[in-house]
Amino acid sequence: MNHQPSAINHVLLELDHVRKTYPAPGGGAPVAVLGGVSLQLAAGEAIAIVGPSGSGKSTLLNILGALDRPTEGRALFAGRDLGALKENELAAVRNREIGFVFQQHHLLPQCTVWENVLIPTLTAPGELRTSAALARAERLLERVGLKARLAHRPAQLSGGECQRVAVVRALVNQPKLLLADEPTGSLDHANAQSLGQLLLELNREEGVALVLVTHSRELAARLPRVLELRDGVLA
Amino acid sequence: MTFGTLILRSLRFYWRTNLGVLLGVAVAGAILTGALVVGDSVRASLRHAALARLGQTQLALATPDRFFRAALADELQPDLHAIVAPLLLLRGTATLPDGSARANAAQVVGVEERFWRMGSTSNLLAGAAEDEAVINTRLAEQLGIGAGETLVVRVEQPALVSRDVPLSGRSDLSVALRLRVRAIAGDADFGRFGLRADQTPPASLFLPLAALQAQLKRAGQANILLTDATAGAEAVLRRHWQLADADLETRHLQETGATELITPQVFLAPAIVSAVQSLSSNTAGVLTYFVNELRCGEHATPYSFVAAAGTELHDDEIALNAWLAGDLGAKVGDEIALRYFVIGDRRELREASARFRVGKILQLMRDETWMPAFPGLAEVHNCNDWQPGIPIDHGRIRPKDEEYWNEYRGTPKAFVSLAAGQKLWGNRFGNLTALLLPTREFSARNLLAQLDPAALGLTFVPVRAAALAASGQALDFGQLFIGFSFFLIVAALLLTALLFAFNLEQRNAEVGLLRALGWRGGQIRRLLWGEGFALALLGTLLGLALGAAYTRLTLLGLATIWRGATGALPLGYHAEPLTLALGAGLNLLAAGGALALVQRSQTRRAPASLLAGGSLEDSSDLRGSMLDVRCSMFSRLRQHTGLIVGLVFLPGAIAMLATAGHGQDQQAAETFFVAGSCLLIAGLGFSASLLAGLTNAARAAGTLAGVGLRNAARRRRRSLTVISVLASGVFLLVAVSAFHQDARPDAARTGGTGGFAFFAQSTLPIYDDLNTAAGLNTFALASNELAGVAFVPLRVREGDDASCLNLNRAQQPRLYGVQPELLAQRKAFTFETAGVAWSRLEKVESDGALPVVGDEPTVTWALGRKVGDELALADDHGRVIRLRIVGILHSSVLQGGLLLAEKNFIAHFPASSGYRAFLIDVPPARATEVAATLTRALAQRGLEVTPAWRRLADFMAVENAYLGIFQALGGLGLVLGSLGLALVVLRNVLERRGELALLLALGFRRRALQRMVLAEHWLLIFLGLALGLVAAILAVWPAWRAGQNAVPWGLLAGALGGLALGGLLWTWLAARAALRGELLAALRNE
Repeated sequence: MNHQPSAINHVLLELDHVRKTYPAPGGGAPVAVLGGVSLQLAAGEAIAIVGPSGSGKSTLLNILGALDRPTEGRALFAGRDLGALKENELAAVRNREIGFVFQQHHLLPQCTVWENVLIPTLTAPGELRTSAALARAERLLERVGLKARLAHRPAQLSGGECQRVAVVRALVNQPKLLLADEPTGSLDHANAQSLGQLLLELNREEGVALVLVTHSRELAARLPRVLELRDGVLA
Repeated sequence: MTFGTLILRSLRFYWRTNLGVLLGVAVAGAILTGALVVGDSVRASLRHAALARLGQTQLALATPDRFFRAALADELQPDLHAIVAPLLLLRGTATLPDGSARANAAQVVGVEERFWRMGSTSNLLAGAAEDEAVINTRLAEQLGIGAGETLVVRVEQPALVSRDVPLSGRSDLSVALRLRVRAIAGDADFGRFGLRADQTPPASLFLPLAALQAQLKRAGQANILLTDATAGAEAVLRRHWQLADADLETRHLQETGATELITPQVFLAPAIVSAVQSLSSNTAGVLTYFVNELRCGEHATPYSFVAAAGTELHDDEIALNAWLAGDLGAKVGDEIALRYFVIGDRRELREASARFRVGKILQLMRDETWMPAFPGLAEVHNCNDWQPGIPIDHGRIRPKDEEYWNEYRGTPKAFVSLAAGQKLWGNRFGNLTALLLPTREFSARNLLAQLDPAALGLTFVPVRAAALAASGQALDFGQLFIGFSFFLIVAALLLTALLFAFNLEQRNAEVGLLRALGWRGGQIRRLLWGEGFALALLGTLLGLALGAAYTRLTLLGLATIWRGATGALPLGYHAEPLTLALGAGLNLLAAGGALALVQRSQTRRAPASLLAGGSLEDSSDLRGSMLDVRCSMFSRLRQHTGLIVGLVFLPGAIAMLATAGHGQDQQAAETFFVAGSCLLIAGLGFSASLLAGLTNAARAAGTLAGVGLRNAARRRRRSLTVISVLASGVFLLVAVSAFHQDARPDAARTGGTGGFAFFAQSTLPIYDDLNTAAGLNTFALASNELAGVAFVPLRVREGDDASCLNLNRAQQPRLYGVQPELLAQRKAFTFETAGVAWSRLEKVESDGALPVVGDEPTVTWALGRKVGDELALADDHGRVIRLRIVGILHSSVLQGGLLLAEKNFIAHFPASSGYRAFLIDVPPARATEVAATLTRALAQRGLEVTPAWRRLADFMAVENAYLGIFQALGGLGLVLGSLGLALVVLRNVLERRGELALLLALGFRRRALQRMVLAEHWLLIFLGLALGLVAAILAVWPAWRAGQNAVPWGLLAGALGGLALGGLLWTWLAARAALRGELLAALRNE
């Protein structure tokens, strides 16, 4: 089945019969996680992917985010086959064009909020770390309500605040795609609601495409398009 | 926000683990730098000792068996614009008046004020009485006396003539001086003065030059000049030296208008003869000799001088003076038989004879100028007082002989042609006793201009430069200690790497995040490397400070428990900036490299796996799943690497054991050591394979202990590191014992003692053959007292001690002149060099080089040479000779010098007369008695008799001290290794608190869980210890079987037992700590 985007003319991401298998311990038959997934995502589009545990959601998200490669099939990002890119080129794609938000915030405990947000900008040469990036970081932190907490360390923030910092970190390089893997999984209901809302607003405000993997049917329902992954196949 | 900020933030945040890493680096740095600085300190101490023994001296003119005018020093001084100090230096023995203490090989030095100036110290003998002396600390310690006490010094009465010269007079003349100690000269008082490159100062006694000159009847003479001039001394010497300095005298002969050149040494050296002959073509040589008898038929005249001169007589003709012709009743044409003594080696007298036909009867005219200055003859008035050094039968001297002596003194009674006389009486010291040339053609200045002072041994030697070279090229203790500390350094670095790896494992998610955020692998590596480098840098700087403490501790060890390694050298701390920089650089490189390796494997992992957390070895997908699929074959191969390594090295070890044979020599020991090493590597390979097998076991673990074993395999690299450290440490610690040497009485000719019971050295030379009754008789010894005792005498040319007891690089090694056949007959000692026998010493090389041999420690270590290498040194004639090493002996009692054939020795070093070392064969049952007899009888010659095995043991003690250091530092390394084990255990159990909590929740009892943890880690300890021990026992097997080497089994068993118990204790404590408290809380935290 091919899942077409709503704005077909601006395809940002395309999966073409993607399969993913892992070798079995002891040399048995490989374990298939994704069984031929095809998907198209337009620029600025927001979709939710739901599915039970072990259905391959995270594996799919890793392939979408150039963190992993398909065993078979192709993953195209802005027309480029991710499978054909070298490690450094993939890293550049992740850094400049994709933002990640994980279930755990993965903030660096040794850094302040401000420093954590700027971590993705460190990959660029010094002269390219423009004041525009700093201004954007500041604006986004203000947007998520954390401007007053710039000098705080993760240990001094609540779980919801940490996750908001992680969102700003994901957006600081102005990516075209934001991937969120169970971003509300470790938050209480109120914080989960708030974060879900924030992601949707940023999708609209920043024009960034959003792929949200979640268990939460309630959160998924707030997105315009919902896909379900079951036994390694999108339904 | 920058890279630097991030690095600083991380360093600060993870300060606890970083502190561990930093301390690990600091420990490695301290050991590395400390070891290098030990080298600096030993070198500087040697240099300090060298300069302390020389003071300001730059050059020295030293002629131990030749004397010159002390006034020469005054004459050289103005031209050199430097201090020139004359000395009279002799070997002697010093004893307490009651004989209760004795110091052999003491250095007796006559000095005046300039000597103390040379030492930049005050004159300790200023205003001293003639019977007062200053002794140095070493002599004071040997005799146990202080200022104000009395001692007796015995020195050999310097002979005018070499004792090896025929008719050189009595050989046993010595002078005893009873002296009161005025002061003790310490190192700051120039008390270490000596000209040999040896860190141990000689036992010295200083007394006023004039007093010593007077006692030795050498007024105004010296045999050493010291100067602080750096150059030009040779030219100034040539300007100022006089005939007296060349031991030459002239006499004007009124009757002939000729000048006669003679020497108190009796025989004119060939160099002098050549110089005189170059002055004039009208020279005439004379050789006058003392004969035992002149006989014509029944008539004989005893003890007469016969002169050989000119060519007027045929070589078979003899001219008699009228007195002799009358005494013998001889007439022209009669046959005259001459009997006379010639002297062989070891002053062996052989009576020879010759026959002549009377060619002429000469008128008797008194002319005693024909008679050379034979000691014991020339100066005595009465025939009964003759002591020419040959047996004189005074009963044969008739009244008319006495009258002739009284009236005509040494006027020759007969003459032969010069050629005939030289054929009979010429010897290695010369074949003329006088040279005549027209007075108008003679000029002392011209003669001296023709003569090279060096040809007579008058050479200024750059002793300071040689001393600095000797200390500069000395055994590098820095390298030695790096070798000794190698295991310690590796253990510290492994510990550091382990801590760093733990640190990074804690931060897996961080690395994963950075990769997810688009950081390239290189950028992450730079970030982590930056952290590692900063830690390595800080640790290294701290290590520099700790290194100073380590060095001081090591120096303390070398001054106390490891004193055997450095002898009596006073050690002081000294660090060169370059060495510190080198140590820091090497440590930075080693630590930085170790940390870089750790972080490299960290950044290779797939980001998703890193974000999921877990240790490096938890997942099999180190590079991401797809790559693993692609490389599954390679991956499987990698899993079997251990097995492959084991299968390669095990047959290697077996093959080496099969070919090593049953020899007990060093080579066999080395083969076993290498075989043991191969076995160790094979064992580590099999261990890796075993752990891999446990990981991949398809069969479920049936017991909780089985689960524990599976856990050991889960973190394979970590487990293997522990096994490797323990096994390698145990192996090195035990296996090195194979090289521990133990000397004991050994009658085997092939051994290090050569089968000799004793090695004896005398302070004063012994000229007589102790293998003969006559030789023994000289020392009032009866043949039956020494029945069955045989001596191999060695001539000794003093030089630098080239044994392992001297840390300096010997520049001019001691030389032994040996009769090779005496050792060949006994098949004594063993050559390492194939195809070389003692007879090889007899053959002078085709290019003129002299063949020499030495034992392995002397040639290889002390001299840094090998077979085929050459040493150049000046002989007593001032000629540079080349000594070529033609063979190397196994370590032996001959360590410290090079051996050359006696005939070559005599030809080049005539000044070193007599014998000063002896290898002695003694029937075993009489060893103690013979040693006591010899020591007593030859006490005045300063004979010191040492059991050969004990001398060997003294040498071995140095090597054993090195091994002891290695084992001590290796033991420390093992302590660090066990600390690593503790860390691994703690880390393992703390990482798995959740897992353990789960098992607890499932109903397992704490005790059962403890058993599981213990099984896991005891497996590692068992594998490490067993592997190291099996490999090591194999390596020491030959030594153990032969029972020759004193392997310190007790110490090793204690160390290993301690290590095993320590390891068991660590694991028990760690398991207990992990299983204590609210374990289930860990489950909730999960």
